[in-house]
Amino acid sequence: MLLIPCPWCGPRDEVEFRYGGQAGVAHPADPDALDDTGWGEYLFVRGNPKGWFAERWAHVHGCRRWFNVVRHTVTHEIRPEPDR
Amino acid sequence: VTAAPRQPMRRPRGGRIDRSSTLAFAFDGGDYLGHPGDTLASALLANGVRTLARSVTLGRPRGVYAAGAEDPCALVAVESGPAAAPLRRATEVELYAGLRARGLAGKGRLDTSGVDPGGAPSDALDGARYDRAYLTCEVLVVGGGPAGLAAAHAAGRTGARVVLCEAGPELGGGLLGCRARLDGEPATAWVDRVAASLAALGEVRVMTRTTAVGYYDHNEVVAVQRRTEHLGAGAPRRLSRQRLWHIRAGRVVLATGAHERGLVFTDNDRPGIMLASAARTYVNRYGVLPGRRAAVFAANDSAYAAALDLLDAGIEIAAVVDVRAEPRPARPPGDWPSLLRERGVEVCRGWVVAGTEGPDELTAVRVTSRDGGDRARTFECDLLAVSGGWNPAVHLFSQSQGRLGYDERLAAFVPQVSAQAERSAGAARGRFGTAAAIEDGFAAGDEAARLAGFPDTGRLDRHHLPRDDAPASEVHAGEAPAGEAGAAYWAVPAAAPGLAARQFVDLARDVTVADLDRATGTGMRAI
Repeated sequence: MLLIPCPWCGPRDEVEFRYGGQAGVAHPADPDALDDTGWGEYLFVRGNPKGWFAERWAHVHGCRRWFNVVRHTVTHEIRPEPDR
Repeated sequence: VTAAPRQPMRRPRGGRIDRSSTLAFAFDGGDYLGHPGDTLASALLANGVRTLARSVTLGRPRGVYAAGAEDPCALVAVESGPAAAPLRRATEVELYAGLRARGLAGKGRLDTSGVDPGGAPSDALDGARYDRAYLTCEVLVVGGGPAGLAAAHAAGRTGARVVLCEAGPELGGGLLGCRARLDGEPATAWVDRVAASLAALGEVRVMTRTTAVGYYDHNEVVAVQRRTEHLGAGAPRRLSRQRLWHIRAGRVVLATGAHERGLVFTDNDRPGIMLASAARTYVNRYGVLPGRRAAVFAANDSAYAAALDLLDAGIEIAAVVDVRAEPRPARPPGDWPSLLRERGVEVCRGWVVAGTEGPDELTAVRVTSRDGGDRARTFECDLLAVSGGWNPAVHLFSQSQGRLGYDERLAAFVPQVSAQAERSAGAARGRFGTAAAIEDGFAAGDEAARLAGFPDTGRLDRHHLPRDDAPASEVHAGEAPAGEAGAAYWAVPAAAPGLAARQFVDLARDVTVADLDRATGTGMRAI
């Protein structure tokens, strides 16, 4: 089980969190302009890298806030998201 | 009317059992007596029961082979009380009054007696409660032997929160089963002192009967604590039977010790054949004679210490058979073989056990010279103590994703590259010998506390490191002097082609040398 650094509460067990999937997936600027394929890609297609992966977590059993981390999908090493 | 002699193989005194209290138990329909402190295996040996189970595929009779979690043969179903379980090792089941068990043929059966097919679970199902708990600490020490105790002591004195997990019911590990001495007194006195000082440290938590079973990401170790199984019918119902601990540790010290490995020869699975360390553990810790007349088959010197323990317990030693040739030039007097020869024990250097005899249980061993000469001798015995060397117990280390390396000197795999915030200590990383394990444990505990944020104040210098009083340096597998061949010795070649099918490599799964030959013959590798 992972130890996830909540930026507000500090490191906590994975059981306290809910996973939010890939970080940085922007809502389309003009959804009406998308065809079905483009809309499907926005809804369902996500990155699945072997390596560093930016993802969202919600501290649902703590401060209830959302935040981003960068996790290595092989070693599970976790870093805070770099400033963008 | 005089009652039949009870516990014929029980020593009159000695051991860590309580003879003032007697526990009645049943095994395979027979009624027996044992004492608090016994395991089911030691109590059965005390009652002269040597065949406990059958092997899984071949149905061969099997007895007690080891004295702890590493036993491959003595599988039983416990059928009584709150400790009922379809498959346990007799070497790990603590005896309680009213225990009822039977031997198994290699595998258990799921207990479906309380299950109504297609219906709701009934009350006849296991009524015990099981719970879980979470724990956070700076330093987790796995294993309560000399290295683990020293590590917990060193880390605990810094004020760090320390958790020490020990699978057995009492602290001490291998020291409970041997007669090691430290600073001129029994090593168990050192254990008692360290245990007392750990109990006095408010931030140190010692958990016995707690087996670390998993090592997961970010230093999470999962451990099972058996809370009521040893209490029998007297177990309070308010207590959960088992508790699953999720322990998150800043640093982990793995002091899991080492397991002795057997040697492969024809019919090496008969009841009466056991590891040398197990034989001395039954003698010293449980006050049980695992046989009346023993032979010892050794590829390293720790078997000689076991032979001396058996001898002092009144067991006749037919011979010590050592695969290593007599060293030339001869070592100075006072080495292990001389200690036994002075006591009138025949030590056959450069010889091997070619086979064993008996209808089922061991009655004799056949011995030949290792170089294949046609000399052969037979020694009658009912116990064969085997020691092929020692393997560090690296299971948790491997699960933590650490990488192993092969140590030629020890002829064993040892932890090499850690993947998590962890370090192995003592025999678990090949530091054999009591004093060496304690020193390594102290260093590991100190380092773990420092890395977890408890600053080093030169504490190690102020620790008293006890000195080992072993009669001669205990030389293990590969540590034999240069030129002394045979330290890394695995198997005695089969004398005839058909016999390889009776040379057991894996006693738990009935895998023989013939099976491995067949597998490698078809091109398989790394089996």
